[in-house]
Amino acid sequence: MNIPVTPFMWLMAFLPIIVLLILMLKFKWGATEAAPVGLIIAIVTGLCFYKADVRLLAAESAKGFWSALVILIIIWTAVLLYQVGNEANAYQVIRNGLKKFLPNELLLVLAIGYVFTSFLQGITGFGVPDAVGAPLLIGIGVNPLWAVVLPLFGESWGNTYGTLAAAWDALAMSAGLTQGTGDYLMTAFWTAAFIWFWNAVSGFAVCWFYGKGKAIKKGFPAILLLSAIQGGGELLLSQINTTLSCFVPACVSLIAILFLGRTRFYGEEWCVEDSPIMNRQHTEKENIQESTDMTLLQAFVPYILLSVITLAVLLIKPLNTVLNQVALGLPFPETVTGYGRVNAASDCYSPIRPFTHAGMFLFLSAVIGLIYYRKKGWIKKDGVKKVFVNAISMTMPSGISVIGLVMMSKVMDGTGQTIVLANGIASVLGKVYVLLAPFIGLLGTFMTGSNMSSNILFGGFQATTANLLNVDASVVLGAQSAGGAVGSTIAPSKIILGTTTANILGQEGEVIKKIMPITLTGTAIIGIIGYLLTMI
Amino acid sequence: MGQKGFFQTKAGRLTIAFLVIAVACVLIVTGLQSDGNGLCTVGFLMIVAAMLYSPVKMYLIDRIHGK
Repeated sequence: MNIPVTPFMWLMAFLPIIVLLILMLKFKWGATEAAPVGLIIAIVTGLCFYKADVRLLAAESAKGFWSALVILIIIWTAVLLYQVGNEANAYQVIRNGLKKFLPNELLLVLAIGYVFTSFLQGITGFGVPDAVGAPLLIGIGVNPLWAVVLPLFGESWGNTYGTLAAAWDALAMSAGLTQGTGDYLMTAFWTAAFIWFWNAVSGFAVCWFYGKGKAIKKGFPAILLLSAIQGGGELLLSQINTTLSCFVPACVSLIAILFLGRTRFYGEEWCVEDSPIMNRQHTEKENIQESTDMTLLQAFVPYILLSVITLAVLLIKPLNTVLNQVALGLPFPETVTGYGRVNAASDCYSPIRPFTHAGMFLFLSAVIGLIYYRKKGWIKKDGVKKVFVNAISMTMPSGISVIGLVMMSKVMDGTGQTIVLANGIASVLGKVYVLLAPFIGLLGTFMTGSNMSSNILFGGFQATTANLLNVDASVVLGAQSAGGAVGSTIAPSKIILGTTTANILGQEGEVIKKIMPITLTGTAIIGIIGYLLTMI
Repeated sequence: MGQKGFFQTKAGRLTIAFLVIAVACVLIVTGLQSDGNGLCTVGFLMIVAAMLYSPVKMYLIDRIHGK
């Protein structure tokens, strides 16, 4: 491949991303309208400057649609799960029940937005915590915009080692790390260390959003404890078993927060009355409306089912092996640009394994939950059809934006634009490049919505560049994956999952505005720490 | 009547766009397998048209009609 890495080519590669950001942040376009524009620009730059032909662009677009389908299945089934709970009035029950268990409102917000979302990230990932967390937070009175923001922070630390370490395995594969070797363990160490820093930042960020200094002071002991369990536990387990290094600490932190609610410091009613994230009028109105014999445990039935089904399928090896047999993928031939950028042929591109896919777990949980609530009489006969119709109506607008974003990322990658972006940064900066290593990880997740995809895209590149510059590759790779995890907070295709279930589709730009300052600052700090470590 | 009503809404029209993209991808994959560049091109143009429906409708057509 001999694409010229010139300032002009770099700018052309950056153009789709910058236009997408400007449309969403400055002109407040929804992702449904902005993503197609970004896609068209990527296509035009690919055709005009990167010597791609229509056949290659068509192939990458089709790959993008197929990859987007994976995310759309999760959106639809997560929305279905939400509609089941909504139709049965389960969210009012959850709100009032958790309030009795956790009378401290800050702890209640942390329990759902910071801890429960981490638990879901540990077992499923793929945006499920964002899609499921938003309606739960709305149910306890959080304003819809913030109900989308908080889970994005809460689950982000779990992006690398969550989903049973899928993104970590992708990094190890693409960087050529062999399990058990010194390089493998050091990279796992630095990745977890950087993520621990971000985990603490996320917890304090949730407190800050809730009630600024007052909430930081109240939440300080809780965040210290929870972060020690989550981030510290993950760091420890990364040296023993990466597969469970997010899931186990997330489970322990879920138990820990319930115990915190029983302590004297957090056991009494406490709230910030004028909290900017709480909708007090909504909370009071919903208090009057609830009249059901559903218990808190019954309201959580679909989520308990989700956890049990997911763990059973993922951890019981013989069951997992049998269910993994069925794989559906599309065949694609090799395509090449005029600059020699090769997209390899594949007989079964990006296979979807329907029986071990997160969407299947969500679907089963939703359907069994629906049957259970129907039997109990909390969903009426006409409510069943309403649940499915509402799920489809809610999903379709976000479907186009997800397809647009994923297609854009595939077109940019397939035409060589993505690698020019990364190469340009590295070749201009020399060893100072390490400062920007986490930003490359962030860029990958921003574009694809997935820490795993970011690690696949850039893991090899980061390792190669680190070796060429004679700096410690384990630190650079750690920064890559941590940056990718942080980047998940501002990935439009993930944000759409939350705005869809929170019923505020079109406000993705507003969500990014709230999150971006903290995200970029956190990433910069990771870059500075990484740079200093490589200078020692 | 209910079905006609749904496809008049934004969600309904985006559902149509989604279905057009799905059909386009089938055409593209078929064209790639059979070395049929014509099918690939048709499928690709269908994708571009379906993707552009929403921004063109909202920021061009609706503005011209004063909505």
